[in-house]
Amino acid sequence: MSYEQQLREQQLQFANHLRNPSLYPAPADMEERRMDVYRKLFFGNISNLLASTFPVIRSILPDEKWQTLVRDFYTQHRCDTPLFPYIAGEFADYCLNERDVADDLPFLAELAQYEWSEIALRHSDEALPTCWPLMFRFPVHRIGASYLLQQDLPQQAPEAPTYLLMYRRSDEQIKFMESSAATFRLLQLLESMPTLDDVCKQLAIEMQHPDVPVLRMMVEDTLQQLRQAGVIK
Amino acid sequence: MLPEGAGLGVRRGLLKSLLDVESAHLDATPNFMPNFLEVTPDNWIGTAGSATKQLHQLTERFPFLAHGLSLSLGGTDPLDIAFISQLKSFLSVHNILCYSEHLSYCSAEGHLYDLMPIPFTDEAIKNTAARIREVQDRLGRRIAIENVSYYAAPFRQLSEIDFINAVIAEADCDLLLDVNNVYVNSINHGYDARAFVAALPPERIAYLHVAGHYVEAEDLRIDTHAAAVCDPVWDLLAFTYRETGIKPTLLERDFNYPPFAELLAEVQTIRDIQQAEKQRVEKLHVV
Repeated sequence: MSYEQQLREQQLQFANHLRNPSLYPAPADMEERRMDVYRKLFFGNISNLLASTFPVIRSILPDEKWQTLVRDFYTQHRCDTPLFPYIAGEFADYCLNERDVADDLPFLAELAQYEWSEIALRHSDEALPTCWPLMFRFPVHRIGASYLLQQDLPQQAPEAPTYLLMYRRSDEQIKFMESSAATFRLLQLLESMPTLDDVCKQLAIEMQHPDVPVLRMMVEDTLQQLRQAGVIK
Repeated sequence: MLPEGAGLGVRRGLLKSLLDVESAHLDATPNFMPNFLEVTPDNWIGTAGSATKQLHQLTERFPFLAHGLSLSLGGTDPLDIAFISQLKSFLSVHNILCYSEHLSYCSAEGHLYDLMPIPFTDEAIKNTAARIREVQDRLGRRIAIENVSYYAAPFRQLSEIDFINAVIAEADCDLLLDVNNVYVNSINHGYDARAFVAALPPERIAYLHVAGHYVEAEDLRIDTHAAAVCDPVWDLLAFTYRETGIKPTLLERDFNYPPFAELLAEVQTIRDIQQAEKQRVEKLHVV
């Protein structure tokens, strides 16, 4: 093995042990008490950071499940961002795209996306006010402190999806409101199409609405209301 | 040129206090405030919102240093070139006078977001120095590297002091000397803190850090930045000034914040020790 390769292996051994001490042994001849300082520091830091960015997930999981979730993330997910505010995005990404654990709460990935969206919206460089239309299978915005008992948490998605408008007001406050499929789709199309005419034509096709001018009046009415509420520009 | 005097590390939890005190005391007692501040770019690049605006207000009003966390200078994952260019524009936007990073690594096939001890080996000297040189080239400026606290020395072949001195020489970079880390390491690894400081090249020391630590055991101290600076560390700071000359010195406090006035009093203690050293040197010249 080249010296270069050896250095890489040495560092990987140390790092992997901190990612998951039960899977990867510590380098030889390390005093247990001192490695324990590292184990506690590293896991404590990542666990505290995620607890502060995912307060709802943290609050509904028993300690042991929370620790397993953080440990799985730390062990299995390759974090590429060097930026601390974006570690939450790595975690949400892991929950959505990599994690597959049968006894997880069925809405875990959606809840992680929801909590991460709030952080991502806070840091977006769009002009204010700005609004993100979001769709979830579960009513993620209602999950939290109101579910006092584990067994009250929803186990199955309701038939109708949940549409939310998450928005950052001109005064930097982040808010959300429940919305409808039509408004969700309207805001989605507004982001991707150049003119309101195009948006209304497309919406008419999708909603099988017979009268585009009438639909357009409804759309303008909705947008006016959202503007007045400080949700959109 | 770095500003003289004593500084304080900016944390999210200190933004408001800094802005409040600055506007209240600017005219009345300008000496009461830190002479400069320090920010961690890795906590702020890509952020927006009210805290980020507050940071901008501070960087407009104070001389600023920056102290990074995520470059992984001692690591073996490829350097993050996109991140380095984000850093470069951050340093320029905020008019950062000096950028420092840790003599450590924080990634190995992905980030762990904390500082791991580089094996003290010849290969690691070569690897780290080459990476520091590349970072300096890309940023278009010299950087300072900080001696970190460490609790275990895996795969060690060299002493810490020889390792640090070799990296500084081979990378042609400056040193951010963390006096608390020297103290903590001297206890954890059983060496003489003063001899360690005396063996460093004084002309390469850009600035100093002091902080509080936690006493886990008589022979095991943890660098928490969560307590007041202890007397032996103040003594070591005074010794460092005698040995290397007075250097700009910054107080770090990350957790367990006391009333803000207590932090400012600690910043003042730094200036008092600097003043005492100035007077000692002046007396020598008189005699």
